[in-house]
Amino acid sequence: MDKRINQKIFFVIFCLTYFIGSQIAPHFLNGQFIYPFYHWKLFEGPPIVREDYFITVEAFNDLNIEESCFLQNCHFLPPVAKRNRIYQKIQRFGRAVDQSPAQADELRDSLEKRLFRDGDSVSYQLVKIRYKPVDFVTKQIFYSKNSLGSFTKKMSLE
Amino acid sequence: MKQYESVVIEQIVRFFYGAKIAFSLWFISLYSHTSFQAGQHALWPVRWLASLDHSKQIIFTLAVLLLLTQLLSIMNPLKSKIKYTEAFFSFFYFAALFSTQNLGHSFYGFILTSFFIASLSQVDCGSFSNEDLGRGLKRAQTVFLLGYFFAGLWKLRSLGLVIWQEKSFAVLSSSLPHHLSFNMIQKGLDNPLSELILSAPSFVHGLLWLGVVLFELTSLWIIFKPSYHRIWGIMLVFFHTTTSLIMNIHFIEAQLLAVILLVCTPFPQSSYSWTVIKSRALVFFRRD
Repeated sequence: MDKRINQKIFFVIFCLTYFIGSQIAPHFLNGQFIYPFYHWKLFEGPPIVREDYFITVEAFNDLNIEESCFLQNCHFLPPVAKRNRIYQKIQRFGRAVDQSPAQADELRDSLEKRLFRDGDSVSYQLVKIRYKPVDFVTKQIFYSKNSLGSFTKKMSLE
Repeated sequence: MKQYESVVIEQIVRFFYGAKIAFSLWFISLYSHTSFQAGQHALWPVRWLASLDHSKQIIFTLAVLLLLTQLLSIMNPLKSKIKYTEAFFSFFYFAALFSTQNLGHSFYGFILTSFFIASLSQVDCGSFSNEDLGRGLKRAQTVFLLGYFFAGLWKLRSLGLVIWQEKSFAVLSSSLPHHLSFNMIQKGLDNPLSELILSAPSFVHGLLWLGVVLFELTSLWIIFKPSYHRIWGIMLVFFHTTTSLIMNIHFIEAQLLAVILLVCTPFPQSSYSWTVIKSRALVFFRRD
């Protein structure tokens, strides 16, 4: 076979395999991707109103907090509280409180361990917020806020 | 193919395996002590492992074999056929790691292109010629660039659907601020660069988003233009550096692959000297 034709056939076959493996097949598998064809859904969706769980801090040690503040804006907390993957942890905790409270306690322990230092006395609220990310980040505006419960950080046994 | 091109391709294969060894060592040092408990969530190539009692030992052996084949591949990059074995070992080993760890998907480029880099073999006599060598590299470049094209295609599809439904182009300028701010919420960032972009006028957001989509889509055209590969590779590195600075999303593996496959390309490149650019630009204004 002519080598140039061979190259074209390779390109077409690979394009089709890549397209089916990365874009079409995941639709039939509940959005699961087929290794190693990553489905490349990075930042493709249009702007939407989201509904997520957040934590608002009500009291922290002896600090006088006039208005409860969202975790990401609490400058008195250690920086780790604002780091990556805390968002996912809060979402898991929120879903557990909302749907299967049996698992919530374990998730709460691991979240508190990540967020606060030993010896801090903190009370906080778990809230569910409907918001548009741009408005929330730039103007702190959201559509609705439902409280799912107030918590006080458990004291360690030490 | 000229002699120097096959020498450059040999170096490219060396760089490729050098980078892969570095990443493999990094991942092995991080995850070799964690147990394999993916269960039914394991990716399809390693799902059979989940039911075995000695899955951890099997994965550990696989890691050692992977490193061994990588070292043999780098020793004799164009002659050894062990590169295919390396490609399959890395396919299975990283399937196991991706099943249990959050590695980030930037490494998929290395896994996919391994099979095409493995086809780069130089045999003095026989059916392979140096022409085959160039074709193998072109396939690896094609696979790498196709990823960007599909990312752009799906962004375009999403934009098109919203524009069609809402009969308005507003989504163009609202997409970037949306992704940027949601990323800030997810990562808990207070990044001055993201804040600067968010405070820019909406036409700037529209232009930037359109630029990203067009940039990714153009990768398809670049596949067929080997003379632009070097400049495109540099632009890809720059693109990922910007997303890393602004959104804290790192594509180090993809950046390295862009340097190895595109910036170090052995194929003749277009000249970017000032006189050439000027003479090309002047063509548009010349009246004959």
